[in-house]
Amino acid sequence: MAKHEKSESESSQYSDLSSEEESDTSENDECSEEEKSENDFNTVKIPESDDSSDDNQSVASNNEEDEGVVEDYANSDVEMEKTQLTVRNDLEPEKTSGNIAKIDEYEYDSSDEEDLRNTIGNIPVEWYRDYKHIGYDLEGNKIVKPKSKDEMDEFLSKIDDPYYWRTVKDKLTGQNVILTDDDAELIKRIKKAHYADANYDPYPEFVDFFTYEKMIHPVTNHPETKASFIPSLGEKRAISRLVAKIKRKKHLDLPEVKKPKDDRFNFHYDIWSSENAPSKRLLRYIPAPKMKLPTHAESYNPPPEYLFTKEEEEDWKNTEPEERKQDFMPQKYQRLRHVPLYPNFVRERFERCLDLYLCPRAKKMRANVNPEDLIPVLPKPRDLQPFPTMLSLVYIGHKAAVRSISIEPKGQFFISGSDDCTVKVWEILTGRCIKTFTFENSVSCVSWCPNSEKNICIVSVNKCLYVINIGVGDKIVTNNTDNLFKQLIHEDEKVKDDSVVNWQIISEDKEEAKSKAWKEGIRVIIKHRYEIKQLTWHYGGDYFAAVMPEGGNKHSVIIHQLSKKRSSMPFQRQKAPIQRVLFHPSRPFLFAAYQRHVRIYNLAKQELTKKLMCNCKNLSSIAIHPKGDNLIIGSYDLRLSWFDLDLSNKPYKTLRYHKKAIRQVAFHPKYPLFASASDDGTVVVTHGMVYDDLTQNALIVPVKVLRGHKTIGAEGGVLDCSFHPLQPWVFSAGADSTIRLYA
Amino acid sequence: MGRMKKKGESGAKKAYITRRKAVQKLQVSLKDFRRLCILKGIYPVEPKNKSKVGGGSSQNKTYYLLSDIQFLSHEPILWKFWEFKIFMRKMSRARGRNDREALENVRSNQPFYKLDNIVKERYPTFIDALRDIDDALSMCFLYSRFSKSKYLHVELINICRRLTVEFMHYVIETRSLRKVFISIKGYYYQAEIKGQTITWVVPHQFNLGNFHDADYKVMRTFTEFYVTLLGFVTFKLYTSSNLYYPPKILTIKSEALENDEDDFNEQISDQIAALNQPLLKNSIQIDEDINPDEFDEPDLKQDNQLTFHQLVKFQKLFEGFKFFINREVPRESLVFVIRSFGGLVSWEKTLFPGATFDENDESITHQIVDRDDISNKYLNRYYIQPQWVFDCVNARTLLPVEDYFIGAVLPPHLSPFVEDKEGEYVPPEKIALNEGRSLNLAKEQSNEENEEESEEEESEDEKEIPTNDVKNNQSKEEKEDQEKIKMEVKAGKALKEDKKKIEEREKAEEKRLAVMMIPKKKRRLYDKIMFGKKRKSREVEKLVEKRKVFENESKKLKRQKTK
Repeated sequence: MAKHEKSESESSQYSDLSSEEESDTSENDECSEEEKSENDFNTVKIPESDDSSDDNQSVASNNEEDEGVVEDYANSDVEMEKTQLTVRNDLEPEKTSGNIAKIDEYEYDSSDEEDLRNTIGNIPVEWYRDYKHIGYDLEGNKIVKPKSKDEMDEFLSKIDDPYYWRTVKDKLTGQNVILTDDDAELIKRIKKAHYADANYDPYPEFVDFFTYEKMIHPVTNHPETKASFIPSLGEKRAISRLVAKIKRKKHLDLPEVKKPKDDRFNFHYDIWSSENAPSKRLLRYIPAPKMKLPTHAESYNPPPEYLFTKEEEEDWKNTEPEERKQDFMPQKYQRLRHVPLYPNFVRERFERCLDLYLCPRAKKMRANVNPEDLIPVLPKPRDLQPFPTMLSLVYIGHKAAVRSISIEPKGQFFISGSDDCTVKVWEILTGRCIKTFTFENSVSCVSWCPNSEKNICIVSVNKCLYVINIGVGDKIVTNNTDNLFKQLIHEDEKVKDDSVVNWQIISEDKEEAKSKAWKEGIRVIIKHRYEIKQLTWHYGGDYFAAVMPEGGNKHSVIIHQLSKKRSSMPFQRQKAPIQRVLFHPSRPFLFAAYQRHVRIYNLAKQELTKKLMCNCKNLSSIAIHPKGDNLIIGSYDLRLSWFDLDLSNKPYKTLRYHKKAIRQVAFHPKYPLFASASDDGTVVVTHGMVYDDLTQNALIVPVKVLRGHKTIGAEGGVLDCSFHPLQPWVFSAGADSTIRLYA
Repeated sequence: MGRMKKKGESGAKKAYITRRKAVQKLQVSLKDFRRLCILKGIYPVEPKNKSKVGGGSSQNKTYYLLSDIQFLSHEPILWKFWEFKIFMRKMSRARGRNDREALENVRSNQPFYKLDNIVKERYPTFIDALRDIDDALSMCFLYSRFSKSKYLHVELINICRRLTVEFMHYVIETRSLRKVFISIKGYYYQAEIKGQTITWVVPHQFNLGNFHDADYKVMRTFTEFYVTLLGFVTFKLYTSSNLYYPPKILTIKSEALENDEDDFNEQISDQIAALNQPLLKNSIQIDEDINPDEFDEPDLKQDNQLTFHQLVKFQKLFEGFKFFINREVPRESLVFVIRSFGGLVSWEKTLFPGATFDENDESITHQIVDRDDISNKYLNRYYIQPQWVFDCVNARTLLPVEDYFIGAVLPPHLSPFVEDKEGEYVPPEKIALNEGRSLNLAKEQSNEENEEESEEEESEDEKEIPTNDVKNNQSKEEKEDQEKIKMEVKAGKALKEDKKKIEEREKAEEKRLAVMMIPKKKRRLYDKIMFGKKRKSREVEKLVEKRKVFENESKKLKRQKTK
């Protein structure tokens, strides 16, 4: 119901207001334009404004009536205006002079239009002072100024003209207008501060529209809206807000006083005034490393060497930003004011922020190691002399890589086998080639018999093994050797062709071809089924072994006995091919080297005594210390392992000083030296001292790196090396077809 | 028998926690977690054995210490985050309902956090805070250069500006600046405060505008913390050296501004920002520490550090000089540097408030100009380029002005932060500087040329003599040869062996052999060290080479010009 009441009160207010307006406007007969226009638009207001002549009853009636009547009313309004005008003008004075306007001004003065007798608009009329005309009429013709009276005429008319006092000059048209009685009356009333309209009743009788008495009919016939039955949510909120305010005991009208904010950044006190004990957490706090300090290159005017060259600049631009060594490009500016803003400044700072909170931190002990401390302290090589120090002789003669060399036990000669299908015998001291044996295939291995009583060499050429009486040196020995072979022939002639090996003994007095071979020195030819890779003598000089890795599990090693022309295959079943074999210098042991390990067999007991694990993948060579307790093994994977047979089946020391595969290793029979030849073209001579005292480990000191051989592509560098039996000299055979003696 | 230990219930597995788990545990969003980590200084750690922590998986994860995360869970600021979350919800609700009053109400109760406790907790002592203030300073200097935007609030920018100015004032007052460097990235300054070396970088004087390659939120969180840290540090510094905080300067209130308090305050803050007036000191003397840096640990001073007297002299480097800064010269950095060493500075009044004297002041000794030339010159002052000031500070003496005259080709500006270690490249300018002579390339070249010419002459002479000898010898020999064409035996020359060389060679060989015997364990380390050394020496060689090329080229150019 509240709403209903409200609307009622509003309407009553409205009516009051309108009545007030009435009173205001009615004062002015000529209403202002605004009001007029308002009247036009707001039809309801019409009776209240301009036409004040109507009495209050009409207003009331108008209110009572519905809006449909309004149009008729407007029409009646115009009519009334006209009637009024006629009434006003009936008292028109006589026109005494031509100066007085002939046209009734009210004719043009409609409620909504300007005075259009003169079209100059709203400008000061003085501007036309010097012209004959005063403006233009609607057709555009000049309005000629009426003749102005001179002072005399003025004076006369003052006396003569009875209407002089009510004559007024219209500025626009320049004509005189005589006010009517009504006008005069109006002016008088205004002067007296009365209502302009004499008929206007400022205090009409109050009509109590909404009476206290109950009427039979409702004031309006509208059905009540639904909203009027529902309590207003907005009002409810407003009320609750008010209630809240009252509850908070705040003055309802005053704006809320905001309490001053606690300043976030108020630093006006000393937080470190009381020192607390630092928490335990901080003890393991890892502070972030500080930013890197700038170098000379970062200067705006760096020394010229820090600036990039064109290639460096290109390089810098082409690398990814993360991979750049410097995150900026050094630049030189002539003047400080030329230095531009560094475009990555914000980014760098941001990345620093990221590092600070995202980068995992860990304490890392920086090893501040002096590299000198890492180098082991070894006895000086000078104190470990003698050992070969320099190249003293080069034996030139072979035309292809020299595969193998072997030195005479007395140390006067040596033989070499080469890829050019020859075996040459050299005198060591003179460097002269004494003999050359030519074969039909490249020579893979040569070996001189360790027994100095015999002058025998064995040479392997492809699948054949030649036993040769070299025929150099002491003639008696040569003859004795020959006699030995002759005995062989006499002993028996039975030769099995179907066996794995085929012994062919050459006698002096047979066919020509063979006798030629005899003359050359070849005494026995042993044919094998497979290619022979290595030959090795037993220290006695009677047995020798041939290794054929292709021979499979049964035929890979064959041991020959020269004095009995017998061959035996020690291994019946092998799981892997044997690469090398070696006889123990004093005991009946046979070392069989496989690719990854070495097995030691006791030949007397016919059993496996030990297995050495080499720590390498591809074994290449094996050599034993003359005392028989230490072994060295060279491998294609750069390692040289020293085994102490009493100590362990694992290497006592592994040396990795070669940069390429090791081809051959050798012990010196007298001096504590061993050498290793490698594909990198070097022979490293190492001092390897073995003590009799079992508690003391061997002393291993490299003493010399011998260079000289050229490395030739796939052939390799140094293919074989061997020590002189008496002197501290080492021979090396290279792929560059030379043999070198270092002394 | 004890209980069987189960896998993953103790040890490393329990000591570390992945980031995802940590976020779950704290019940915050990843964003809030990040903010929390930044404010509390919690960083991820690298476990010694990742696969053990990861339960066998070698996936690359970020690990935090569980104890750190537990520590975070007790942080009161966490509540503030939650409060803020609610606040945002309330705001959006009020906004959605278009309830202006409620919005106002909510906004007026916006929660905020203070970081005072965290600063104290992270840096229990003042020295700790000083030690870690490098980043804070750099960040604040950067932030003060930002322009206001949606994400960069004026409040923070203004406070950064204020704090940086205050810090600079402190450095000026205590004369603790030690090194300065103009880099292409910005100005580097190094000060020594309370025995701590503090380095910071200030970008060049440009408006940085908006940046798109960085996350402003991360930067803001960092700055919030840094501002708090720097604020307390500045307060402590000011109070400990008897200065008013906030800084006060001697100002005369002009009549025009007497009524307008705001304008007056603004003017004062401008004056303070000009860095050109000494700060007022508390009249009450506190004998707490007069010069703590000098007397604290005199024994610990290194060789390159200054003695007390040297330091005092260094601090008064520009005392008695009057500098006038032209308007094209970066004002702030130069005023800061000059005033830190006792010089008087001024600039054009229209440029910035706080100018103390005009250009036509006759007592000006140096005018800093960064142009090729200038029309109105006064006779009784040096016109120098700004680099002179910086180079003087780095050299710790007054360098000769001639190299830095207006329009001159400047000698290279070297970084004072590079310490010459053995085996590193030292530019010749630096060597010259260390030896106490100036080396200006342009100048030197002309000198060199003269020298060179003379040298050349000399060398020619020198050459001539032996060549003559040789020629003479040769001619003699030829003659002799011609005389005796028959068979002959020339006298063999004895090959002289330098014993030293042989010894050296032997030693080198010994070393090489010994190196061969380095066991595998140490081998890698040794190789690494040697590799690094080689690389370094290669770089040095490269620089030397480049320098040579440059010098030759410049000589050639000079010659062409003279021709």
